[in-house]
Amino acid sequence: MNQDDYSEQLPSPPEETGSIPEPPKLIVPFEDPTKEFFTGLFETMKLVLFEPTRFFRDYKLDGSIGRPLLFAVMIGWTAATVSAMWGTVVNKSILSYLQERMPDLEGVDWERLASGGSSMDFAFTLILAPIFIVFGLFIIAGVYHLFLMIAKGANKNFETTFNVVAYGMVTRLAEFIPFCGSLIAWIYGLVLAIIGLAGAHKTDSGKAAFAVLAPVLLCCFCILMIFMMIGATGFMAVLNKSLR
Amino acid sequence: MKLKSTGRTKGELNLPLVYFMVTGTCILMVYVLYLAKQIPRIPCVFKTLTGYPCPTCGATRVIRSLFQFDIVSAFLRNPLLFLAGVVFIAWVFYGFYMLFSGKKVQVILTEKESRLLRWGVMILFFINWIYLAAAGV
Repeated sequence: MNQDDYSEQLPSPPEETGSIPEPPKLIVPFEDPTKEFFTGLFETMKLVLFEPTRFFRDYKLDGSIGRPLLFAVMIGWTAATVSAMWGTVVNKSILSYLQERMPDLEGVDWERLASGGSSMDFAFTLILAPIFIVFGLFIIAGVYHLFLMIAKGANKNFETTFNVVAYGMVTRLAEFIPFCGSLIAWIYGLVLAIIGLAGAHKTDSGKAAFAVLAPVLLCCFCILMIFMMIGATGFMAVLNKSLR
Repeated sequence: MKLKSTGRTKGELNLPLVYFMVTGTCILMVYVLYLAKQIPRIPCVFKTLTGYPCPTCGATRVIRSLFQFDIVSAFLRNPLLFLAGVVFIAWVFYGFYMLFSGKKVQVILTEKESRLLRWGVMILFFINWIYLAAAGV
């Protein structure tokens, strides 16, 4: 038996890549069957809000999408209800007070601002919010995953991206703050999405930022183009009139 | 206060640059609205109800002044918000330093220094508020 025959029978030595083996991922408290429902919910909310880097890096997010979807719908529905409530009760009364005090304020469309909070809107929000949340989650996750693939940063499956988006819904809780809550929720949501994609997909923050911000910038560009087209149309109309 | 320089681990998140990119995108969006003259003048609820400015009163005017490159006016609109912006820019530069040098700097404060810093920020907050009320911002 020569040396080559022995080497065929022996297990191959571990590859010397110099990388440390990845530690096993932790189970998200909300998906942990040993935990009570609300204990898991609050622990997950706390982790995502206050320790996002650790949560998205160390917890298992490439599993099923059922529980994360339930988490997102619960949080999103609560936030939408609170937001609609602000619109119906508080914002409307404050806006009517402001309108009384400053009726001629420049640049404020009072009718448009006040129209956002009728009781009918509130009822529609309660009924339709879960459907919109589910559709919205799939669309946003799809867009993020597509841009992540373009940037060659999608190292995990679509479920991972979906779970990042779903758990990132926790930022919607900022809707509890009247007036500026939506803005805070939106900005912190973008930051969490970047942290989440970078941590869960094990990619660098530049690629994650591209996946999250490129669609926003694209929308921005489209809006600018629309305004430019409107401006150009107006200019052409004025030019035509003056030529005649 | 001690500064400790350590190496960054591979894949470690560069938080200043993440915030820079998000803020940059938001500023770009606001600038598009500014170009289209669509920034609404939203009145401050606190000021309307009490007659005194809130601590963040003048934020929109700070942004408008900055878009017109009027730095002095931006500072006078709300000095603390302006300073917060300067600190944020310094933090972003630190993010770029981390990116290119592969190092990070930890600021180690003693208990007394942290307490002093907290009190300093609170005092600045109230001085700024008094200034806003006195200047009629």
